[in-house]
Amino acid sequence: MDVRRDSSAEKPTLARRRTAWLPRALLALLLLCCQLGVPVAADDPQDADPIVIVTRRDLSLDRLSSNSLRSIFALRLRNWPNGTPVKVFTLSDSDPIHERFCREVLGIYGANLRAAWDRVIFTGLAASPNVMPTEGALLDAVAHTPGAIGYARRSEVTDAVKVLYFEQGR
Amino acid sequence: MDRKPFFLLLCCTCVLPVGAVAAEPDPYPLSTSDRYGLNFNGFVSQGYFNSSSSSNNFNRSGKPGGSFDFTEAAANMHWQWTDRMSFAAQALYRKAPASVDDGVRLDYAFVNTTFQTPFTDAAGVMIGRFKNPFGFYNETRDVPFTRPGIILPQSMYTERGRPFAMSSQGILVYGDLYRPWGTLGLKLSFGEPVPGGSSLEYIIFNKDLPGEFEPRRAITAQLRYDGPEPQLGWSAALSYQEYSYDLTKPRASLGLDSFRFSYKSVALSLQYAEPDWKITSESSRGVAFDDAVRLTTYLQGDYRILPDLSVFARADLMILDNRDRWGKKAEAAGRGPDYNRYAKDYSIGMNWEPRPDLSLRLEWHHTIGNAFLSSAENDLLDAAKTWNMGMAQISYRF
Repeated sequence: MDVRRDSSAEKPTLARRRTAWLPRALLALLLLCCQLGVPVAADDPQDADPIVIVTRRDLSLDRLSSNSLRSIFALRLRNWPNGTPVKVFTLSDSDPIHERFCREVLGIYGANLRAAWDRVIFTGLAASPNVMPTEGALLDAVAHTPGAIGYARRSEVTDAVKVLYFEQGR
Repeated sequence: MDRKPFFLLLCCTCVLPVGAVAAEPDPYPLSTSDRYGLNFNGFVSQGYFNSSSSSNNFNRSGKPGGSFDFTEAAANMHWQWTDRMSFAAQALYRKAPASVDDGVRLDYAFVNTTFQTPFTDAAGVMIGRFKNPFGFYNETRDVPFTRPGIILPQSMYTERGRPFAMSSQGILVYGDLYRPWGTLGLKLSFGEPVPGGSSLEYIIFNKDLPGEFEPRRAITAQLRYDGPEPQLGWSAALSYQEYSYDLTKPRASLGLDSFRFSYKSVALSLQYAEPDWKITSESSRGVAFDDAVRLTTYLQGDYRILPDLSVFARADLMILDNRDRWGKKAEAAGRGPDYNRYAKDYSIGMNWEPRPDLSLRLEWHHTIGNAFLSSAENDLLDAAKTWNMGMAQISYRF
């Protein structure tokens, strides 16, 4: 299942609405199964403003597998393909957007991510992520830091950063 | 003494990161440490131990009213020197009588060089002093937040044997594959163990002898699998560790020509984790210099009641010599009570993290046998067979 999110995701068109309801319902069910415990409700306001992955504009990649994304945010993958060290920017552990990011994008809990970080930070393998106070500060830092990657709600993202496509789900 | 090469090296290390910054002006006001690729982390932690028997001490837990003799603190730095080279070091303070440990030590200090690999792989080499990979927890055994309780299962991660199992110095090569089915990692190291101090002498001779064991050789190998979601699903590890020490100075007083201590062990670790619960089990088999086969195994279940509150239950078994599992032969040979040769430790505990940087833990142990107690703080001929111990710990990270 390959569901990509980007800033230009479309609303369903008329042509799509004419599709028979059964296959669509099955598809919806399948999508639901892929979400790994993330509550998905049609009227959930969070759906209208999904979390997207942002990098500095000069990053040579346009998309990432969910696997690479997890490895990067778990501080396991520490160099981009061109060798530039990855710099991870996050919001604080207690920020609701951080928890949404962990659940909706990575498919894990914030506590899981923290445990993964501790394993590398306290054995000297990696620097800890840069924790930013607000989404605005995070986006600003990502826009100006070589090798930076972070996340934000789509509504907050500007042209100053690049939005990276990623595969969602397991 | 010609100091020029050292001075040149110092100049290079100071100039390199500055050059990188100058080449690309950075309008974002990153902190000074970020600008130079520097990163600092640390924690402080204080424990309280109280045992039901005054003759069964674990970090002096038998003292009337209990003991606060378990303090841990660390500060570390990570310096991304160039794209592919980093330097990391950690200073560790511990006050822990169970491992004859009181003071500050250099926990690790190494240069890590990563190789050019495909994006989804990683490989590198570490040179210096590094943490020994063994089981799930040895590398972070002194970091309270990473432990599955206030103390690690004592069968496999004994406090009394800690100083010589924790780090070694030499070279460590690692490689990781990141695939949709999970992560496969291999670590191999060769070097010498850190100086063992007197804790080794307490284990072998039940006393501190003049002179010190001299580190000889440490070899570790670990093959590890982790599921695609960090800290969820299956994890498994197969670990090997071997270390040896020579005791040369006090040979006359022992009536020995020389004495070499060695210990080789292999461990199998398994974990299955869901967001709300996990089950962990690790078993190890070790062979000491005297051919005694030490067996250890534990099973632990964790359950998360609330996002910030979890509980666990653990059963832990340690046998010092498989040829004499329940110590009957040792007792018959006049080497003390049989129950000093094994330990069955049943524990329950809870961990509350009111804030991400703060952890409060409570734990209760019911123990039969004394195999993991240290003779440095116990007269093991007097220790009770069955005893209980309550513990509390507060930890703060920064």
